[in-house]
Amino acid sequence: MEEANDEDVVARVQAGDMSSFDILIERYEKKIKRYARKFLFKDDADDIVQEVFIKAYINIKSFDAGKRFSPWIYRIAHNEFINAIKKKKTEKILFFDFDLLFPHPAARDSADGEAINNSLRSMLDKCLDKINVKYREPLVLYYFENLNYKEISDILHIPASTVGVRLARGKAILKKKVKETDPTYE
Amino acid sequence: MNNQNNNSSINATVMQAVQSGMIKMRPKWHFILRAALAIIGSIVLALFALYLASFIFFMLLRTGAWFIPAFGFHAIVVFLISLPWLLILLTALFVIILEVLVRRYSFAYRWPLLYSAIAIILIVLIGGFAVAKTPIHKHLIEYDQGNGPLCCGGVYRDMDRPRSNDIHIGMIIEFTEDGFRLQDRSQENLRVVVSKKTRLPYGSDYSVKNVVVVFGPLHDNIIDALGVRRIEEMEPFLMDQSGPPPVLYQGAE
Repeated sequence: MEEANDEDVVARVQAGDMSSFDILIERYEKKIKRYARKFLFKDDADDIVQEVFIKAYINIKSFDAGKRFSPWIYRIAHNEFINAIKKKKTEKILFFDFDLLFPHPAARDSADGEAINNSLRSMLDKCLDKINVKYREPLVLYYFENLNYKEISDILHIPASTVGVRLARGKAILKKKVKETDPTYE
Repeated sequence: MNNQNNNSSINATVMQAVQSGMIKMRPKWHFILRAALAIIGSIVLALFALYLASFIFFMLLRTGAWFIPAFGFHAIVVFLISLPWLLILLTALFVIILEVLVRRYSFAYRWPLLYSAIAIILIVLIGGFAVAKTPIHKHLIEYDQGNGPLCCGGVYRDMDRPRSNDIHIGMIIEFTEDGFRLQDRSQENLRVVVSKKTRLPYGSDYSVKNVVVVFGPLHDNIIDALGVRRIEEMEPFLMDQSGPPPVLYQGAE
C-alpha cells in the first residue's frame, strides 16, 4: 500500500483523527532531534523537541494543506530553538540583521558533489560550535537536513539570496576555523 | 537502542497528552480571527500613516513651506527646520511597525527588506501627497475652525500658524515702486521689497490677485524678500479660506 504523504496525514489530523499525529512524530522526530543537536549542541534536547511536537499539534489547524508540511514544522522548531538560545543567553541573537536589508545576487542551490558535501559535514561536526548562530543554522539545515534554499528561506523567513550569502560566509568561516585547528589543512 | 527509546518516549509522551486531552488543537476560527486582526491592524496602521503623511504635505503646502527650497541653500535650511519632525517621526514609526507586520508573510520576507520598506514608503508618500490634494483636509479645517466640536485633537485650528517667520504666503493686492503689497490669510497687509538679492526662480511675471510665496525676514510689516514664487496651481486651494474672504480681494473685483 502506498504511504500517505505528510500533507494527507495532516489533513486527517485536522479532520479529527488524533492518532494519525503519531505518524508525523515518527517521521520527523529523528530529523528535529538531529537539527536540535547540531544547532543547540544539546545531546539531550528531548524537552525542546517534545515542545516542538506539542506546539505543532496545538497549531496544526493553522497549517495550509496546499503547502509543504516539512518547512512548517521546521519553522516551529526554529522558533523553539531560538527561544531556547535566548533563554540561555549563551549566544547573542541580533534583533536586526543588515544582510536582510540589501539585495544580494540571486543564489542557486550549490552544485557541490556528494564527496565535497561529506567532507564539509565532517568539518562542520568538528567546528560547528565555533560558528555564529546566524551562519550555523543555514549550514545545519542545508548540509544535515538536506533542505534547499527555498525551504530554508521559508523556515528562517529570509530571502533565498540571503540563505546563499549566509551559507557562503558560513563555509568561509568554517574553513578558517579548520585551518586554525589544523594548519596542514588545504 | 538508547536513541530508539528516546524517540519512542517523546512519541509516547506527546501522544498520551494528545489522547488524554491534556493538549488540544486550537480551532480553525482562532487562526482565521488572528489573521483577520493582523490584516485589519495593518490596514488601520497603513491608513493612519497615509493620513499623517497627507496631513504633513497639506500643512507644508498651506503654509508655503513646500515651495521655498527653490530659493537656495538658506531656504532649504529654513525648510528643514520648519518641517513637522514630530509628525514625521510618528509616521516613520507607523511605517516601521507596518514593515514588521508584513515581514511575517512570504510575499515580504522572500524579498530584501529594502524592497518592502521602499514599497511601503512610496505608497505612504505618493498616497499621502494625493490625499493632501483632495478636499478632505480643507473640510476638516472648516469643521475644526467653525463652531463644531473639537476634531482631530484641534490640530486644524492651528493649521495656519506660520511654520517659520521667514515664510509668507498671500495674494498680491497692488504693486509698489520697490515691490508689491501682499495680503496674507489673516488679512494683514505686508509690504514686500523686491531687490537684486531676491531670487525669482520661476520668473517675475506677476499680477494682482496672484498667490505668491515670499521668503525673507519680516520687520514692521515689511518683508525683505529673498525669494518670490507664484503658486498658480494652489490659488484656489490656498486662498479658499474658511474665514471671511479678503476685503481687498473683493474690492479688486
